[in-house]
Amino acid sequence: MRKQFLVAAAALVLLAIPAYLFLGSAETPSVANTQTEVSTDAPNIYSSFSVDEAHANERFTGKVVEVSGQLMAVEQDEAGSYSLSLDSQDPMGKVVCKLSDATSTELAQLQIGETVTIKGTCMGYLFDVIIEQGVITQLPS
Amino acid sequence: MKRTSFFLFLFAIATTLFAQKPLITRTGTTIFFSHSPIEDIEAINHQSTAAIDLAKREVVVKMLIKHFEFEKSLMQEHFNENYLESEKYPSAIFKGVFTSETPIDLNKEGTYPVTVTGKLTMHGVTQEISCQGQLVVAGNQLTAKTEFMVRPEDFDIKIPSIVVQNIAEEVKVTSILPFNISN
Repeated sequence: MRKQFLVAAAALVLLAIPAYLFLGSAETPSVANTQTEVSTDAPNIYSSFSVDEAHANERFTGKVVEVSGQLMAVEQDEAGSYSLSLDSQDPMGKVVCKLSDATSTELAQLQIGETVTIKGTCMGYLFDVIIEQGVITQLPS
Repeated sequence: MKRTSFFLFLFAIATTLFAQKPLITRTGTTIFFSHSPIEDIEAINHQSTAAIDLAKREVVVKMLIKHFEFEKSLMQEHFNENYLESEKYPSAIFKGVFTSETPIDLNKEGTYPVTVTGKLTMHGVTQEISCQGQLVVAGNQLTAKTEFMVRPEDFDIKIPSIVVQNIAEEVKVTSILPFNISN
């Protein structure tokens, strides 16, 4: 009886390993491991969108962008995710980056007014330039 | 006496200038609702942005197609990739003007019926839209509410014949836009 149980348990473990590997690899790759397609700064990406949205959409939207800028605000939404606002140097709007995950150490290091660099997928332009699935690539030194 | 009226005059100018500043929201809700005998489909966008200028009676509403959330993720994928082609046309924008029979007073709570007319651009196509709406002043908030019907066909949105019976010919669009008056 005990032997049968052990065999069954071993079989389960053996089945679980390939299943785990398969499901794990099926996940979409995170932005952190994806190569940056465009690197720019917050005032530049914002003015590109505010001057010619159609052209900026072709250049940035749907792409993995790395944007550096002066941190204006850190906000947390109802779902618990954090967003960073970067100064566009235009009073009309800013660059908003929704972080996909942020460690508490990273968040603690953020300082308003300091320069940070984020990487994420550019979603397009509303009043602000929207970047999602973001990660922080460079913190204030 | 003269001095008092001068200050009153200044105050009047200051409040008018203040009132002319457009109100902005980034947390508006827009809902697409399609009813068909087979199923009801709803998509919600909680990140609709809008600006309203009460003095000029102008309104702009803008949202990203990718921010519409569906109950079924496969539907959301088809909506973005095949129907709305959100990589090519990332946003939908409405620009228009509104009329109201009574002047909108932000200091007085109440509901003001309005008529909105303007242009809706979605999927690279621009169409005239005219609809009824409400501006509700309550507490520190002005909420704009509107509802209108759109035909996907008018926006060159092609629905494959295999699912044509699942999607209504006319989709109801509801927008609820809360503006903070103090800002």
